[in-house]
Amino acid sequence: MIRQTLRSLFRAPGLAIAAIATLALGVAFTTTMFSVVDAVLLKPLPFRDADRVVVVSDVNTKSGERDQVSAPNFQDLADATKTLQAPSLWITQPITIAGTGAAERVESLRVSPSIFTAFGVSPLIGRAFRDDDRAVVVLSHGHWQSRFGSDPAVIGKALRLEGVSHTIVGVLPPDFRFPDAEIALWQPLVLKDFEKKFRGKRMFQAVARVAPGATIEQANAEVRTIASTLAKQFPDNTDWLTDARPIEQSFVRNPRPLLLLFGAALLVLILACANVANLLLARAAATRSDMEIRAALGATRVNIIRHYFTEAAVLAIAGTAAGVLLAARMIDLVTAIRPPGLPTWNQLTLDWRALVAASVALVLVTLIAGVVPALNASRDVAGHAIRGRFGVAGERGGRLRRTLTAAQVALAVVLLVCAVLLVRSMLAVQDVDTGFDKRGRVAATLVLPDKLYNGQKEVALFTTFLDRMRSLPGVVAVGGVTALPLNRAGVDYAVEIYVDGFTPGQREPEADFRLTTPDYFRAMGIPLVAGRELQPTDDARAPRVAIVNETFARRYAAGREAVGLNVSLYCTRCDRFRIVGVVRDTRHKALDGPITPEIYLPYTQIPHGELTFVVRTSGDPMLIASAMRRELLRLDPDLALSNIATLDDIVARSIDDRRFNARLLAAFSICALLLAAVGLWGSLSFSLGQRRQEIAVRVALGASRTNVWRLVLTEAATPVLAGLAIGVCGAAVATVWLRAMMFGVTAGDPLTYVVVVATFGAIVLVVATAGFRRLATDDVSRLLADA
Amino acid sequence: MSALVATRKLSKSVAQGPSRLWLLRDIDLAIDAGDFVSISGPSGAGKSTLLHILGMHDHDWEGAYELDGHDVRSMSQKQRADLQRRTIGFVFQSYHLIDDLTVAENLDVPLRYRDIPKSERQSLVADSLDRFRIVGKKDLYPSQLSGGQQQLVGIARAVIAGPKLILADEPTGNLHSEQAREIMELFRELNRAGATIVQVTHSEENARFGNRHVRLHDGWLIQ
Repeated sequence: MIRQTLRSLFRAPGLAIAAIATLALGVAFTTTMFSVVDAVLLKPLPFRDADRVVVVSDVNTKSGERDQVSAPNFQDLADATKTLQAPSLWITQPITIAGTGAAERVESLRVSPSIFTAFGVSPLIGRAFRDDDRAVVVLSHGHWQSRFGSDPAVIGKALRLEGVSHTIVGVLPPDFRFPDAEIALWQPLVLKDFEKKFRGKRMFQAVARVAPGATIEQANAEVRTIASTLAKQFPDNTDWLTDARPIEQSFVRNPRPLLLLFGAALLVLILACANVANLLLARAAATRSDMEIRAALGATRVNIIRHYFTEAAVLAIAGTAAGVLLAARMIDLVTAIRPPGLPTWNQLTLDWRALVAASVALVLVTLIAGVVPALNASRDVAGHAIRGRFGVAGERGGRLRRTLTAAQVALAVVLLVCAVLLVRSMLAVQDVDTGFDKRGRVAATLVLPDKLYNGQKEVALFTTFLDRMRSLPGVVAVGGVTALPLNRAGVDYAVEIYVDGFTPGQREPEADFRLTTPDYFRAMGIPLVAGRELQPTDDARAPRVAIVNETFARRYAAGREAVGLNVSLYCTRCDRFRIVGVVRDTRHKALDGPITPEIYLPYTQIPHGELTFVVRTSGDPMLIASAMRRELLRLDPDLALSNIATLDDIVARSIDDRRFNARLLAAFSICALLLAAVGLWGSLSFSLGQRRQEIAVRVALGASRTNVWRLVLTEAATPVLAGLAIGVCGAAVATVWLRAMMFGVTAGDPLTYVVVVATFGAIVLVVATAGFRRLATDDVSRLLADA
Repeated sequence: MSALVATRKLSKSVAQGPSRLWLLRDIDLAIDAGDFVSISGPSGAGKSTLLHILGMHDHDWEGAYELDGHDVRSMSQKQRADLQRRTIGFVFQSYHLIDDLTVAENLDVPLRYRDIPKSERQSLVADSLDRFRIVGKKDLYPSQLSGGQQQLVGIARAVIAGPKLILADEPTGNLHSEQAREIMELFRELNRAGATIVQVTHSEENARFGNRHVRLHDGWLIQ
């Protein structure tokens, strides 16, 4: 049976290739998206007994807001718990490595020595931390490979972190990636005095392993009990509770976009199945006489069903195999465009789980693609319905084929509407006025180690570095700020402010607080709206001054001129800053987020060890970056610039998540559109083939080319119109889930629907025209003969 | 040429490897209004080919063809289609009724393509059903009719728009002898009523119903 099927498919290679290619696309999309969903949402984390690792976090009982924990609270919890093992704190810290090659800025983790016990991981080489470890580091596997060339003799070697010598004691295994693949090295957490002291400073993340014999529920109950005791003891803990949750729940922030994309991939697979079912249906009609002969020779209905199922299964196996090969390439592509927001603890690979998913797809494909033609043809043949021998229509299975085409169109409409909405959202976000000029500008962050630089030493180095950069050829302006707009680097938080003459409402007024150098706004191209910019004379000895943005002025100046008002941060009696200028609003946190009040203070008046510099150049901005590195090397070889990027790139990266979702969904929808168009063409050409004689007779009876064109157009448009009607309704439902991902466009955006309907209108016209041309209506005798 | 149909040196060939296969050679034929011409000949003689050229279903030929005073060769496709609609009714060997349409709807098809108003079409269909005595079958589908009845409808459909020329391609080829004779009688009646008929037939007996008999052999007109 299989050999006969293969032979008959080889005799119709066009159909076999179309079916296999169609299925390969559907299976590849589904398998790829399954691999992503599996890596992020389903696969256990790469730790031993990962389901027993919990994240401990504080929850505000009033707002429900989840926060990190403070060191003293967690220490009390660790001392009291009986259900948790190896309770450990961790905090990320960007750090400059030197001493074993060029200075490099990397991400590191400061961790409790017990954290490797909590995760159940042992170093690949060397050892884990001991309680008394101080100036030691454990390298991640990736960093060991990239910086040390996988040298096994690295253990015991020294490297300098922020100018302080540390000894490498271990290297972690390759599959341990926490919290993501970016972490280069781990240091033992030695709490600073202020970290030990304040219970209200919730600045650490915490993990632990549930002790043998205890359950997560018991651990959570115990943690809550201990926390409620601490809440009674310490005022900083009032309104705060602590809980322990499985680590998986804590790290995937929003699975909805991924699940939506997986759903979209499944729709493409179903569409591909419908397409193949349609092809097989057409083939079943074309080979009907063969089946009639088989039935006449004694084939039962089961025999005939088995014949069509075998055909579908052979195509499905070939399509799935091709799809899996294609998925391997697609996974590389997805890995390349993966946004930073997607967790990377599990590598994206085509493993046995993905192959199982592909096998499920295979069964699904065989069932969907095989059952329709098998049942239809067997019913027809078994009944020996030899009809219309002298008639001219007799289009068998036409209604079913049109239904399948309509279903394909409906699915494609749903995907296309969603994709157009997401792409338009992305374009709308891209068009948002950032408030600054991103052209010809490069940014780089410089962090000074606390131990070597503090106070006026920091100011002195930054000032010298600014002067050196200013003197580089091609540099038009240079400025620095603690947090650049739309950049993930830098200190960026809101502080309570007190403005002269402003009466706050229920909540104390807040503003995002940043330190800047003179010339920062000129370097960024942020226009001054009122007053003046910061000057080099606004130093530590000069009166305290501040610059605010338009939103600050509008909200807190309360109808007065903002310039000239005094503002203090944190408390009414704290230092007062006189507002000397107002600058234009910028999109600071996100292009699609709200603009918040901002206050900029001179870095000379509040020294800080980290600044991100912006250099405006008259030439290629990235060429300046290497000159900046050279100048810094001359100042201090242990310092390194990090996050070097043009402002164009920074703005583009800020919408990586959006772009990733839009690109993937656009790829799915274009594929769906093509499949639907191919399905429509297949259905129409088969239908016209069936109706060839009828059309010839109509022409013989006087039908003009226009009459025939109208007939062909009706044939093509009928299933499309039905599919559009169903698809538009489906899209209206599907877009409800997309609302959170939309920007500048509504779910019911009429233009989107017009574009989608027009696209299908164009497809109908193209397909109908091609079908009409193939009919060659000017030669009726040939049409009759062909028929 | 003043006949209703006139051909001069009408030829048709198709490519066959490096040479050509001639289906019709130098056909000179004149058919006057009111003639009932039977064309016969063995299989492959070119009978149906000639009929389809006369019916303007095939435009790939050489020579001259004049229909109702119009030089077909010099006409545009649209003009030919208009002339065909005005002049010709076609009867097929396999009836070629449209399966999905009732008898009345099948009769309506040629009228629809002639931009005749609906009320007039309904009246013409009713007249035709009456004339061909198939009123009782007007709502039946072709599959519910016998072969003879289907061909009766086919003929009614061919003449409903009042063509000057009826072309019939083996109109009794799929009928048994009794039904065939009834159909041929019907053609004779139509001819007597003024219709010009050209039929292609294998049957000498049916050929005798016409008032002229021409024979084709290997594409040549031999009589």
